[in-house]
Amino acid sequence: MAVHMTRSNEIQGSTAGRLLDMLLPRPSSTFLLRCAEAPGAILVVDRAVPPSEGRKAVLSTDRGLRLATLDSRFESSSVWGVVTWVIRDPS
Amino acid sequence: MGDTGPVLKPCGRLLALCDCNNFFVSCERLFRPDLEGRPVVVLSSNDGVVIARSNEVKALGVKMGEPYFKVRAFLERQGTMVFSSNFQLYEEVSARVMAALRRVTPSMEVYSVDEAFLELPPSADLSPLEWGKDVRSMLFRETGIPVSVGIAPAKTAAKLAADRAKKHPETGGAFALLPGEPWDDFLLDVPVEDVWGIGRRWSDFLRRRGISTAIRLRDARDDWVEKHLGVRGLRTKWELAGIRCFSVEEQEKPQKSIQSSRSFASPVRSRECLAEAVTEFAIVAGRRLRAQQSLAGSLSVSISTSRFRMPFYGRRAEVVIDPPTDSDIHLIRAAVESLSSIYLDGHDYEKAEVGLGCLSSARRPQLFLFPQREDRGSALSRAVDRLNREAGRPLLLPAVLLGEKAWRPRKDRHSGFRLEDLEKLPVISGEGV
Repeated sequence: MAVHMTRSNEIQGSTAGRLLDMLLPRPSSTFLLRCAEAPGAILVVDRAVPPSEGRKAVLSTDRGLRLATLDSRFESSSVWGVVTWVIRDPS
Repeated sequence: MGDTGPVLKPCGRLLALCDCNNFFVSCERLFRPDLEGRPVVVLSSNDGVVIARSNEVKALGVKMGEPYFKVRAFLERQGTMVFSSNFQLYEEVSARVMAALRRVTPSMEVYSVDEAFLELPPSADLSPLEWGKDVRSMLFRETGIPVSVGIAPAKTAAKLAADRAKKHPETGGAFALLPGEPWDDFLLDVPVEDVWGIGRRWSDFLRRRGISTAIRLRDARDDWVEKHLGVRGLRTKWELAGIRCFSVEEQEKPQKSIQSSRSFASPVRSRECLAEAVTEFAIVAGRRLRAQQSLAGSLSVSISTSRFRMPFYGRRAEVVIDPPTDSDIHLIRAAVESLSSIYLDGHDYEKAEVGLGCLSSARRPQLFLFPQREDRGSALSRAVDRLNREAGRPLLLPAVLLGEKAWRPRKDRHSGFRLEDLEKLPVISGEGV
C-alpha cells in the first residue's frame, strides 16, 4: 500500500485526510521506518522536530540508523530524526 | 545586432538554482549513514554504466557513464558501495525536495529530478547569500538531501554559481553572483564548455576561435555569436552579463515526443518475448502521455541486435494512429503490429524502443457529439493509472506481463527502499518500541 504524503489528493478534508494530517503534519520531513525489534510496527519520524531529552529518536551511527531514547548527553548532530508516532501492530 | 544596453538592462531580481549534490547517491545514503565518507556509485538499469558518483568516487577519477565492467575491480579494491538504480525512491525523494522548496519561493521551475530554479522572494532582512544558506540547511534538515545553491540575476549565471558552490566546500554550499559586483575574476576561471547550453556541441568550435572561457564568450561580439551560435547562443552570452533572457517557467512544458526504451538483461530471440517487452514499453509511454494530458498521433517501434556483434540487424517502423489516442489498448495494438512488420526470426535482439509522436492536447474541445468507443479505452487506461499510483506499484497490467521476464533489467544491487510503500520501508535496529 502506498501512502502519498506529499501529494494533494481526493481525501483532503475527509476523515482519512484528517488522520494523515495528524500523523504526518509535515510531509516533506516525515519518514516511515520499521524497526527490526518490533515487527509489525511503523515508526513515524520527523526530521524537522528539534530533539530533546527523553524522546525516542533515530540516530545516525557508523553501523547505520538506530532507534534510541535520548539521554542528557545526546548530540544534536547525530540525531537523524525524532519519532513522533509509533503505529503498533495490534496483536 | 548592436549594443544590448537600450533594449535590455541587467535585472535587479534574482533567482536561485538549487541543485542536489550527487542526487542518486544522496538518496541511497539517506538511510545509510554508515556510507558517509565512503565511495558510493549508482548504476544504470541492467547495471551497465555508472550514473551517479559520490565525491570520493569522483576524486578517484571514475567518470560519469563509465561502463561498470571496466571499473568494477578498481571500485571493489577501493571498498566502493555499488547500487542498482532505484528510480522510484529517487522520484519520491525528489517530490519532497520540490515540495519543501515550493514553500520558500513565489515561483519555481522544476528543471530536472534534482534541480529547480527559484525566484528569490522579496526579503528585506536577509542578504541573497544568507537566504541561499538558509534554504540549504532547511532542505537538509527536512529531507536529508544536501544541495548547492547558486544565486544570480540569470539562469546561466546561477548555474555557474551553483557549480562553484558544489565544487568549493569553503563556500558553505551557496554562492552568489550579484548585479553591480564584478564577475570578471569568476568568469575568467570558467571553461567555456561548463557554460549551460554550450557543452561539447559548441565548445570545440569556440575554443578553435580562442574563446576558451566564459569571460571570452561574454565579451565576444553579439553579431558574431548570433551568426555562429544562433539566438540561443546570443542569449547565453547576455546571461553571462547578468541580463535575464530565460525566464523561470513554472508550467512544465509538455514533451513533443515520448520514448520508452531499454536494453534487455539477456538477448531476446522470440517474437513473443519481444512483443511482451514492446507491450511494457508502450504502457510506460502511455502513462507518461496521459500524465501530460496528450494524445499520440503516431507510434514507432525500433528493435536492434548488439552493435558489437555481427551481423547487426536494426529496424524501425512507424504507424499513424487516427484518430489520436491515449488508450493503452490502441497503443499496444499499434506497437505489436509495428513490431510484426520489422521482426526477423533468428536474431538476438538486445534493445527495443517505443516512441510516441504527433502529440496533441487531450483537453481540446470535444469534436464529437457522442463519445466514441475509443474514449472507453482512454477512461480505462486512466483508471488503471489511478489504481497503480495508489497502490504504489503496477497492480493492474496486461496478463502477458505477469511473472518473471528474462528481458527485464537486472538489479542485483538494488537497495529496495521506498518512502511511501509500506512493504518496502527501511528497517532499522535498536531498542524495542
